[in-house]
Amino acid sequence: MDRSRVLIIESCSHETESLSRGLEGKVGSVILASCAAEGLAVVEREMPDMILLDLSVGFAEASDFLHGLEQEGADFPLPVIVLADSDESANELPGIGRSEVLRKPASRADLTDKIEILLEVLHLRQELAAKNIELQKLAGELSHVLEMKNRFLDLATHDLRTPITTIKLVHDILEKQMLPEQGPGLQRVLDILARNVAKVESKIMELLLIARMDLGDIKLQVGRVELGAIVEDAISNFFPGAISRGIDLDAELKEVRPLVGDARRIGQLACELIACALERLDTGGRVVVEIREEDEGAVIRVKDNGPALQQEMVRQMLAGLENLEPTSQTRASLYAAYQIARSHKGRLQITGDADGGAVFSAWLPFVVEQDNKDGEEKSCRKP
Amino acid sequence: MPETVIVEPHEIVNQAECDEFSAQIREAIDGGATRLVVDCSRVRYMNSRALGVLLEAYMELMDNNGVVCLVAPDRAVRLGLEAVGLLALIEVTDSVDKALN
Repeated sequence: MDRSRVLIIESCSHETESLSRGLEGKVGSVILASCAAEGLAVVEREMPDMILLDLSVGFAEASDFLHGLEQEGADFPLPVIVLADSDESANELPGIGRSEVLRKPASRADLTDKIEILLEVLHLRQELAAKNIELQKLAGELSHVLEMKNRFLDLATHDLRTPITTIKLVHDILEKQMLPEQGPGLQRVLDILARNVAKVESKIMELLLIARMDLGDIKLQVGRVELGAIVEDAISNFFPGAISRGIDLDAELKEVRPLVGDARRIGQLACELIACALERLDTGGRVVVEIREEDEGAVIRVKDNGPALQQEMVRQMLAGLENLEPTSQTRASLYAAYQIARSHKGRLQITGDADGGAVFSAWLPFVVEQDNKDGEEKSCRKP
Repeated sequence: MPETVIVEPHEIVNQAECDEFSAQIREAIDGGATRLVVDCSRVRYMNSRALGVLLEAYMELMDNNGVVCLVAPDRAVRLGLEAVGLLALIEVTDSVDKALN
């Protein structure tokens, strides 16, 4: 309050002087003006914290002042106390609803109290605005950190999945090739290895699930995508597991024109579709990954020869893909695939094959519609 | 059976072609080959089972001080070899002549 400045606009010099002497020291410093023009000049030059407008300057002067004040367009409306002989005399003033009216004669104590309250309100509003700006800045930083966390989680978990399946494959080979000669000592070591690998794999799958759950708000890094290379990379992630389980992981990769999209996300989409198919097989069996052009876009199609897929099962798989209910890894994979396809304005489809088995496919358009000016990043939010 | 055997897989080794590939490898190893050269210069894709066959061939030949050598594997084949941990273990050359020497 000590640093607050009050502008008093009043025509009667005796009363003004008296008012200002009483207020100065109680509410801060006081600036005097005797008419609307002078008052407005002070507002522009000195930027007072509040205004005391005595109607003794005349209704017209007071109106001119209040009208001029509105034109100033300050960030915060300046608190104004109007001193009037009656409420009726003040009611016709422009913007009077935003001002406080005190009837004369107002005691010094009442006036001081009123001024202090209004100044407090003003200071609190300013503090709130400053905190709001700070909060928005923090929210922006938090959003950036979350985005970085999500990207790391995504990359790390996908990158960790491949070495784990390779370790499992090597374990299987060791067990088959070396165990008959080396005996129980090696068996114990291999058992320890198998248990720990299983624990790590379980944690990785949980992390993958968490990473997928954040896919509701995907920010795409859009660029040119060579789908063939992307899908080859995706398939290679699953070779160790397929070898361990005796599954033929085949590919029929036709030439496809480049897409415009997020290469990493599209690679993830291919991985999720392959994971869905492999999840349906136990040991043995066949999964075929195909890409081809279709309808001004490209299709990634993954077919398995697992159990026949009934319509009801398809309906259950597709139900509620807007929100993730992680009842299984397949459901998590489908959710991730759905969100990525949708963020590229594409489509996800699941059908039962005529020869038995299931087909998981995603269609992606060649060009993704750009939302922002620089065309590099596009955000797709869940509705 | 000569000590060095060259096997030339199909351009695409999926399920249908894998039986033939597997049989060729088996015949070479059972016949006493100690140097197995797989000419991948035409190969654009090898499926999981074919990679598994290569992996087993490597393990068997290693026991008998034998060698597996791949010729000119392209990107997709290299990715598969890397995924199963074979790329760092087997010889890779860019021509059959170099593989034979």
